[in-house]
Amino acid sequence: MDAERWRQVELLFHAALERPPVDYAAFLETACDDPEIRREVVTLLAASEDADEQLDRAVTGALKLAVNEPIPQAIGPYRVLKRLGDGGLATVYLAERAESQVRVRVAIKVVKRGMDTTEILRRLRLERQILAGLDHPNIARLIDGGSTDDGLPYVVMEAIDGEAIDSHCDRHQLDLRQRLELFRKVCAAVHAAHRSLVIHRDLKPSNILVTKGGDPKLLDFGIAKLLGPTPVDQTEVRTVTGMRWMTPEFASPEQVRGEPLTTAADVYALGVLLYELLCGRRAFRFETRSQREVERLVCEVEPPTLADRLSIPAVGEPSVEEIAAARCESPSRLRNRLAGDLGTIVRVAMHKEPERRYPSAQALEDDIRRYLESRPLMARPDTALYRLRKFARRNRIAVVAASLVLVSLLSGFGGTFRALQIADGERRRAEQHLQELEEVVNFNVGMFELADPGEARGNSITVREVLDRATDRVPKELGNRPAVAARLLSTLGLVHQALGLYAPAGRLLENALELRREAFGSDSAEVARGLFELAGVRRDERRFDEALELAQQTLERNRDLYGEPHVETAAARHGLAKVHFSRGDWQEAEDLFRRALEVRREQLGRSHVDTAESANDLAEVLFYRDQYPAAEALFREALAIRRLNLGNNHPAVAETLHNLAAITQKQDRSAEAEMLGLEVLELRRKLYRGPHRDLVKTLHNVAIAIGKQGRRVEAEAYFRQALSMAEEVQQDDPVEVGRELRALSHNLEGQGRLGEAETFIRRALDLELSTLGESNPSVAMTRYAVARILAKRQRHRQAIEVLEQQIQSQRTIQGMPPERLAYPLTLLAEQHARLNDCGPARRVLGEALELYPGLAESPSLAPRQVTVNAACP
Amino acid sequence: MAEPASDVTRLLHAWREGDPAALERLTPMVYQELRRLARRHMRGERAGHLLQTTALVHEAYMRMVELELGFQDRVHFFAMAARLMRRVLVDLAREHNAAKRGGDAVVLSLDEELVPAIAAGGDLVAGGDIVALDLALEELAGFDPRKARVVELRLFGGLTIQEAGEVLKVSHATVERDLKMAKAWLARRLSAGAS
Repeated sequence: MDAERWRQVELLFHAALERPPVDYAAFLETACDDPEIRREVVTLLAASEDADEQLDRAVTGALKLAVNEPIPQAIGPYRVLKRLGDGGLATVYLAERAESQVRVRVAIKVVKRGMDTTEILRRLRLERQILAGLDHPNIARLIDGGSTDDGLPYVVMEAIDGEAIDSHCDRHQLDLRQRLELFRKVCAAVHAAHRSLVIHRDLKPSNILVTKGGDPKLLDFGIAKLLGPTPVDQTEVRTVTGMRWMTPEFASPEQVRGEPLTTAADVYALGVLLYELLCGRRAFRFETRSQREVERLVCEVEPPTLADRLSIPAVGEPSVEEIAAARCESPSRLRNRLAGDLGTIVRVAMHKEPERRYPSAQALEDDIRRYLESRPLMARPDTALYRLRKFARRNRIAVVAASLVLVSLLSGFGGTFRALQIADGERRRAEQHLQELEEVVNFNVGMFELADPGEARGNSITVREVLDRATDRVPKELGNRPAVAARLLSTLGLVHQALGLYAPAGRLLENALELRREAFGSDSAEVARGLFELAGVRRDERRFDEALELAQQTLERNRDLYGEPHVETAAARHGLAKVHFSRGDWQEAEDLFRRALEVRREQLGRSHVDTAESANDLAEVLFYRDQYPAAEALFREALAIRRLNLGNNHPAVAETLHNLAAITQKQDRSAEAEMLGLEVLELRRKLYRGPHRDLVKTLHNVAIAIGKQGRRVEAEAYFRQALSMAEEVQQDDPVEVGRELRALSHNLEGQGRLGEAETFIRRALDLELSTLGESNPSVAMTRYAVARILAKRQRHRQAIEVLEQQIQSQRTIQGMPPERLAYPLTLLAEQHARLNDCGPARRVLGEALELYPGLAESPSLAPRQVTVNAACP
Repeated sequence: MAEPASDVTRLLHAWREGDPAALERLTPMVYQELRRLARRHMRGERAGHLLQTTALVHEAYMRMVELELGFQDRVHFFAMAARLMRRVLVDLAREHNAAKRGGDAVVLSLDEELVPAIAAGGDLVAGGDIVALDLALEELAGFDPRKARVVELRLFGGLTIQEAGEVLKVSHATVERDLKMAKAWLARRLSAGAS
């Protein structure tokens, strides 16, 4: 480090420290005009806050390492690498064995000298026997066993490279959904053990490690018990149920009382584990761990509800805020989420009476899956009201539509025509009627229950099941009435479409189309309508060629049926334009949207909602074609019309407002974009009342608007919200989640918080790699960002590694212009130059120049050339 | 211990008087003692006792130095012990980590006794910390040796601000400022390396 600069940094650091932290930034702004130095000081000030703690931790941590016993060189054929841990009865070592070039790492548990009593030796034998019978990917495997030279018995197990499940969850800040998914795997492993007639009896976080790949592994069947017939003497096993074989916090009432155990004891322990993973605190805390206290609490006292326990930290426990943060939630939201079904699940799993618990680990897992899918739990009485709430949460539109289907099915198809027309029309129109229909919904859910009184507890109905059932019934019961059946199938299809179930929607609409042909004739308006609907769902299915064909047919038929100009023809044209838009045929889309807009303005008037639809969609095309002022004018027009017709609280209004904010941003009016964005945010939060992909986009755009105004820390908060929501609603979508990870990383990079930036960009890379594979432009871009951050952190060698991988992969991407390689190549050359490896630096730079001769004029690349030339003349 | 305690006193004094051979003989003795103490603490003979470098250094001093020394000799002992303490901890961590070359922390639990280490993130992580801290101190010493030494004295030797000022021949205020700045720099360096 440059001595003069270091001195300057030091002076500013101490001067800033004399001021309150809020004034740091302002002070530095006035005291120093070198942004590099300012950044240096700011990061030091930030690090200063917990420096003491961090350094103390390093020192005391090291002190704890001093070990007191010699480690054996070898145990049997295994070479001992180190001690992993010391228990009261045995020591566990990490060891390895060379097996045909491959070195296999194992964990060896050796009974301690003096502990080799008959009882303990028997337990070790039993553990060996149990493990030998268990073969499950989430259970640590038994590999071998034997006796040391001194005659101490040992078992050899798969070495697990992982950390205890509770700290894994917190350290990776897994949100509730991720925790539940992980926990489901644990349940499955426990269930597998149960099926092999093994009860673990000591499930707790330290016995469930999570590997780097995110897979849980069950360990330590040291006090496990075999059920059923077994060669091991059972009478002995039953004697070992006393206090010293269990962990009181996770012990079930029957375990504490020393009664014979069943698999229900493990279900209980799973409940305790889930309790802790969810609310961050143990269900029970013992002051003394005396037998009496443990027995009283475990057997008699109901644990506090999750939400209550979360709010009441015991001495030494983390705060509510810390716990919520480790779950990517706000405290109030976390409390709300814990208050509902999750509480029920935990309560049932931890029931004091074994027979009232979930009957198996599998049943517990099933209920968690139901929770995750927002379906009704088994663990709760299926009241109509409860089920209705579940319905409603899943999809409000589906509720309406499903209820309409039910009305039709159950009330003999009388008087449903009006209702069907509502559902048959546009989604948005259906939503308008939502409120007045809620009464009907309630009524119908009840009706459905009455219709099927044999419904067993646990076979709860979900929207999906209602739809499936209705789908089944329509052809069976309406075979002789194709006109009605066609309408119902079409309704069902549209409902599936609204739920995002495109494949079944497509099949239903196909069937509906067939029936329409049968009932109304091929040239009928009904068939044209059917084609139109099918085209829409094919577009959603991304079967664009079919969609195009169908949309073109619709347009032709409507032209024949209604002539030009006509609103129906305009609607068909609009539909065709949307297909083109989805395909990226922007010119065609633009022309068709324009024509549709023209006709709709003329025929429906300038203030009709359909006119607004065409204006909005045309503007979206113009947005992509960089015609910002024209697009903005149309968005404003659409917004005015939609507000006029729909009021302010409407998804369509939010959509256009969102677009308007985006186009404003595109024209660098960030302050205005921020205001609009915040308005959308408020509106969408009100409309959706929960996570939604549209909200993710709005949060993202607001963050950009704020960031562009230099308020990076504020922007960071929005990016973080966008990320956690994206992960919640679209965790399987690498594009959407990856975008948020990259955006957050970029923001942090801009703040000079490179370590954090690296963490997020690496997560983005992992995600994209796992779903998109190597040869993908997005993966290449993300790698480049990783390398850029590493370069900034002076990790030149790591950066080189990443860049070389990127270059290698990028070459295999079809259609990627080769000159794009100039970006990674110049960065790579620069890294070599920084390491004074002039040979590679010059060679790589030469390659970049060859691919992209205009490099010297590029503002981002030219400086790298300068660096290389300066270091390697 | 090979040498009687009184010898330590004598060697310390000789060293302060400027005899470099005295230091050469003293160093392994202090190193051994600190290492022994550190290991003994691990065996849990002092359960519940907060393990601190300061305590270890002071204990070594009490054991090794029979006669009460003057302030100067005492401070010199601590200053030397601080460096050795650092050495001891780094060596122990290196030995401990030798097995995990190439891999990350491998943790496998056995009984309840193991839980604290795992729950606290695992002892191996801490072992990595001390090595990283050692390297970072080395780096800091490269461009600001006094700051690195201040940290060493405080963190590993448990010297007071006043004592550290005495060793380095600077004012309290300077020690305090150096310490603040150096700790911030080290903490930043360590977090950068951790991710």
